[in-house]
Amino acid sequence: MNLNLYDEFWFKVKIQSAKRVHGIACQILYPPDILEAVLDDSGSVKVQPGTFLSQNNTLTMLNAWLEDDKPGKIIVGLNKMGEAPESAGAGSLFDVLFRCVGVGQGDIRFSQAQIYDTAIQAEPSQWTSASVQVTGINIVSVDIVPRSITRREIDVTLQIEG
Amino acid sequence: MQPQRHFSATLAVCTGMIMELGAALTLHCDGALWAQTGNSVTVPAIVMMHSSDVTVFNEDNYVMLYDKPNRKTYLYIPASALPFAKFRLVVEAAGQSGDNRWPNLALAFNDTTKILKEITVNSSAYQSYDLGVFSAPAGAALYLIFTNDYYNPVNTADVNLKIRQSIFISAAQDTLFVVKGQQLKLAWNRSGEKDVAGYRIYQGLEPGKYGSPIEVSKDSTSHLFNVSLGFKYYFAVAAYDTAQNQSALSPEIIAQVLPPDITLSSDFNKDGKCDSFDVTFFTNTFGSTCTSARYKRVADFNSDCKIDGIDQLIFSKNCK
Repeated sequence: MNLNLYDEFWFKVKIQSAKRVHGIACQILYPPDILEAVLDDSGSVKVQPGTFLSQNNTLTMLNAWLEDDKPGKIIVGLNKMGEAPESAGAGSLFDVLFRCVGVGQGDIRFSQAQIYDTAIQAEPSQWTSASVQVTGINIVSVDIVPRSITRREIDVTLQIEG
Repeated sequence: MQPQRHFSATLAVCTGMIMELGAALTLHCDGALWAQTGNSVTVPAIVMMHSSDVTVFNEDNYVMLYDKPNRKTYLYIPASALPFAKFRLVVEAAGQSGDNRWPNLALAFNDTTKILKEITVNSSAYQSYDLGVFSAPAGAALYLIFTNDYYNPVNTADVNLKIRQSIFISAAQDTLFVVKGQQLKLAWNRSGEKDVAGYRIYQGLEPGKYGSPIEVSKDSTSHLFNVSLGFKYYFAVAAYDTAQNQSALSPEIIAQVLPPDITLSSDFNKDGKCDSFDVTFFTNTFGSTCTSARYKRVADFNSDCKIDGIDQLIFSKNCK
């Protein structure tokens, strides 16, 4: 995906061919010299839940934090609360907001990513990565942030094996 | 001083008041890298397969190997029966000497002419002979061979070999040592070089990432560490000389200290319910590792030194 410096975009994680999903645990690795995970006031990474796990008004819990508050690795936890039935099929899991802070090319990829059923047993899964290309003039430091920021979306699909 | 040194490090959990005895844990750094986990299998000689010219003494629990000219006698274990792919082999054997000669015991895989290790069994009493660490080639049988038959018809001096049992000790690189207790002892063999001034012990909570080393004297062979329950520690040792030249680090030893016996509870404030307070408490620890100020031990349910999605799953499951 081609982006411009200072663009913000949602990194959207989707799932398909799922059978028994109670929750997921993963790490998202990104190049911190190019991208910045946008934080909210609490210091956690700005994320929004998808609809896949919250079907039938199921309460979910979504956490995304930079590991030890250092850039480059986001720890993500998303699961249903309580004993809600597992989800199956396809849908959106969660979105993560990134900002382009440097010129260059890099990958956003998953690490230690697992899908779990209600017994917290891992289900086989295959996770794909995404490439981003940020263009623009690489400014070492800025005092003024451009007024117009365009937000774009990048989709990543999770394919469940079997 | 050469950059590569030959010495070994041992991680042991001590007995007594402080620590609980764990497995015998050893990691050698002398080329054949291995770690002893303490898992061992003893194979009595009387159940091993053998060549001709061998007498099996079932009642006395040993096998006598008496060689014939141009024909080796041996015990062997087929590949399918080897308990470990990589192992240390200790053979309990005794020798019958004659004319001041003692029997030799050799080890080979598949081909009895290709000897990998040969020792002299120089005692008439049973002793344990450490043949070393071996990786069994795929599909290879292991042979214990009597290689130096001797018989003097003049005085009937006869050299024979008696084998009682073979002990296979699992050996694998990068073994994770699971230990109990709040202190553990890291030990090493002294370097053989004369200009050693001391040893530097490196410790960290991540593989290959160590803090400032602890320097100990050249006479030291161990160091005691206070450890926290549930944490995983990474150790390495190096020797240094009087000119401050340092040897290569020993292979890393990893010790997983078992966590305390805690009841999994998401009720962090013990008010009888898992509510918004507990959710907030957990959330505020999320993404932290045990090196971080945000880390809270009680929220690290699986005691892996990080609070992540798996802990969240456990937290949610227990949040009732």
